[in-house]
Amino acid sequence: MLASLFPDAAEAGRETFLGFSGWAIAIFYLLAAVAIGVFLWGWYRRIRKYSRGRPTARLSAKRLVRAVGDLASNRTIAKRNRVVGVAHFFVFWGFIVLLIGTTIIAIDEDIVGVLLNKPEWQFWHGTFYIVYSFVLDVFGIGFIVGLITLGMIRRKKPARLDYARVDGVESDRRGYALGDKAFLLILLTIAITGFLLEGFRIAATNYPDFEIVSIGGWFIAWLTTPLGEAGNNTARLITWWIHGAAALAFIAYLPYSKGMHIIDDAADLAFAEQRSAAVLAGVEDPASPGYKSLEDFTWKDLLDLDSCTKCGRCHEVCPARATGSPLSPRDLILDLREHADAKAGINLWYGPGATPRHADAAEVAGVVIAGDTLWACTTCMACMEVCPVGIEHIPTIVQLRRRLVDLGEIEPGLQTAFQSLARGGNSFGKSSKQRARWTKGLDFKLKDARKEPVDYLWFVGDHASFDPRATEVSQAVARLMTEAGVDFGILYDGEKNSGNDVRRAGEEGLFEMLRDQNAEAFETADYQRMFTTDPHSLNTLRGEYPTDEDVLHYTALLDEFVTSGTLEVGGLTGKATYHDPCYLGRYQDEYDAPRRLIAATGLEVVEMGRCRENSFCCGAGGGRIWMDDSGLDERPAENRIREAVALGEDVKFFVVSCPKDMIMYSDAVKTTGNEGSIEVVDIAQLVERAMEVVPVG
Amino acid sequence: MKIAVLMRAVPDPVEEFEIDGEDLDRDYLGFVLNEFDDHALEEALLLKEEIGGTVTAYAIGSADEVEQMLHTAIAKGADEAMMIGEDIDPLDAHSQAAAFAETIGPVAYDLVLSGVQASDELEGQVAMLAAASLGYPHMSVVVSVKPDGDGLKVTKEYWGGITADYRVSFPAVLGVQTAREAPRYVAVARIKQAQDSGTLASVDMPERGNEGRIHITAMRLPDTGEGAEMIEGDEEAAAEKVYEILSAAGVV
Repeated sequence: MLASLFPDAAEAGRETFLGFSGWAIAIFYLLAAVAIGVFLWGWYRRIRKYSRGRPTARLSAKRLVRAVGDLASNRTIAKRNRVVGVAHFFVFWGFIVLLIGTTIIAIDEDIVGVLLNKPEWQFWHGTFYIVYSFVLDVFGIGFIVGLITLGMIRRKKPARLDYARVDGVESDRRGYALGDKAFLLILLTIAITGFLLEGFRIAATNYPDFEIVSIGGWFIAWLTTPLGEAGNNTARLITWWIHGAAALAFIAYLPYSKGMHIIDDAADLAFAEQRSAAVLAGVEDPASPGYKSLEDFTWKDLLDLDSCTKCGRCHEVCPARATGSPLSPRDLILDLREHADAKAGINLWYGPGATPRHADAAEVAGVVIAGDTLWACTTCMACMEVCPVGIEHIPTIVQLRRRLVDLGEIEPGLQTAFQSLARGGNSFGKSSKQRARWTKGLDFKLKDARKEPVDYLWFVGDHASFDPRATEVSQAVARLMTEAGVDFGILYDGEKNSGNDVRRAGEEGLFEMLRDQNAEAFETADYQRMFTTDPHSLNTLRGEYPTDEDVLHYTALLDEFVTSGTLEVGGLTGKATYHDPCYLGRYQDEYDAPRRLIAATGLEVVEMGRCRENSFCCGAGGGRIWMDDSGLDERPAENRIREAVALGEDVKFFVVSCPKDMIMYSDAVKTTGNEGSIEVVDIAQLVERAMEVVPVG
Repeated sequence: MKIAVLMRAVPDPVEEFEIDGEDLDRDYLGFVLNEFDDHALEEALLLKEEIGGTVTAYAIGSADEVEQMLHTAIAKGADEAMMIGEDIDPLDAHSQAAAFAETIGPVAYDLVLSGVQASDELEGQVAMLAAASLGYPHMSVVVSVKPDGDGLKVTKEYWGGITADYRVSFPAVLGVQTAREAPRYVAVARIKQAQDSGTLASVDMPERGNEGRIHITAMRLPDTGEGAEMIEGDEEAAAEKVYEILSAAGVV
């Protein structure tokens, strides 16, 4: 078929070393051997570093399948950043196809031609060559377009690519910025010289007709016609060496630069576990909990560190970073990487004034990563959700917190909370006998699930039991469940804090104690299913309790009753915005029931820019609710209220579905002076209001 | 250096107190370490970290009351912990001091630290009386203990926040009001390990010395007062109202 198109097709092909002397060829192979040696040495050191990590079982078909999809589509990169995603998709596939192309030449030329010495088996000619040329040119053009797009985005200096540290530690990261440029430029050089080379060769070999499929090269050849055959040939030889040198330099540079992400990130995605923050690993050796030094990191943790491309997405979404705390998830990962590299004897250049990398630190928590930085995390999981390469920040932070707790180096507010929790099972310093005091505000009595059988056991949660702003919501939930005819009960003083946040604050022993106390109370109760008012409790009850509890969030139950007509609602008018709690949304993947409920009340849901998976944390999670917030520029909750208020004056309700949100946001509307403009209201309260306006009967 | 810390269990104020006859209804009470004793323990541990030696924690009371706090002391870094007596009636300061002194006397400690007072007595006598029984010098309302040559530099607080530094040589008994640093946190897992290691020792209650000089004849909960009055209005109006109230009370 192609032969009929191109009379020269029978001779289609090209000589790799056209016009080279034996010496030149020898020099090239020598350089190639050096580059490959440097490449292998770099990777040997990196892989040796990962292999020193503690074991963790991460190989599974499910993860591999997901990773193949993620990689092939580049969807994790395109998420919430379409332009970068598409540009990277072009670079990604361009790189792969060009790499395969180069590999084909190596197989044909070096293995079949030289090593096996079977010229008759060589296949890189004729029809195959023509198809090959076309495919490589198309992908090569895409590769260049993608690289230039990414370079232009970088030139606009988006805030997420600003490498300035947020913790005030003096640093010099010019090496990082230079490395980014070098990486792009080296790839661009290889691509552009490839096309030039092709053009010069076509022009110097008298324009074989089949070469028109090399659309890029053909175009260059057309441009360089005036150079004449000799001129083009000279230009070809010079460009050949630039192209070859750039390609070899790239190979050598790969494991010492951000180029390593090409290999590391494919692996990191293949072994990534998004649920690792929701279901934390326990402590293996109670005598030495958490990560003391790098030797305690798993190989996946170490691989995470090298996988970071500094894309800054975690840096951008992190509520701790956004409100002036010393934590940036990006800096955390980079600091740990520099430390791990230094420990492995890999000393890269970060800038002329770069600070020491703690090469001889025996402790990570409190030394390599400052305590304040570790305590700043709200465990909202925005970083892990947005990370395109599968880095698991939160499990590492929790492991480092565990070490600080073991050392007794904890934030004072946290210490008070832990001590209260150990004594009375709640962080309010109250007697557990007062846990159900909020029920006195009801005109009916709640069943004690320990004394009589119930369909539903309601795990109320700490804040929903003790904080007056949240107990009002608990009372509304109690009334609604009663109205809906639900047979439910609570554990009264048998319920303790679920331990979700205690665990994330690094106090594993206390978490185990609370978990066991609750599990014991569950044993004494007779119930079919469980629901909770607290998304944080929902998370730990579902994934971290010994029994495989079937737990619902109250919004799911209410949604059921409203959808089925058991609860009749409607009649509210106006607009509302909904805040997705981190532990209900990102952690438990529940986004729709609350929205359906709000819509059912008659209100129109207006979304904030940061909604659903991209919701912005209130600042209470991971034990932060017990810690001092006064050092922040702005509380995360205040930042969030400002976002909601900016939606417009007609958005009258800031709807929440988590007791901690009720507390944080009712504070934040006051401190931001927005008390008159927006009302913080729980979904249960909205539903109740919407029932009052529905004519009964 | 050998340091002893004398600790007392006091009713946990988190629980609501109820009175049964002349005493708190102890059946429903939880017990916690007296806050000042926690500071004494912290100071002892800081000294041990600085100059070495051993720390032994002593507590009077039944296992229910004191086991947890002694395990905690070991988890924090005490070398030994000792329970004195069991199932005993609440003791007054003289009896407590006598029990401590008799138990620790034979060991010949260089330094004995205890809280300046306990929330269930507010007399501040135990450390002092124990010192008298042991024949050791004593200093009270101590807010800092630092090593100083072959002795200690002890800071004592006086009325009005005035402080004075003393040089104290061994042996000595100190009533600690606050440690130099806030009492440390110890992870629950470590307390559990201390518990599992079973290093808790116990001795019988020694013959009580000056028992029975003080008898409680009645105990009352504070009267519930009238609800607080919220003063409404802007600064002017509020100030006027405050003045009115003060005038009515004859204060101004």
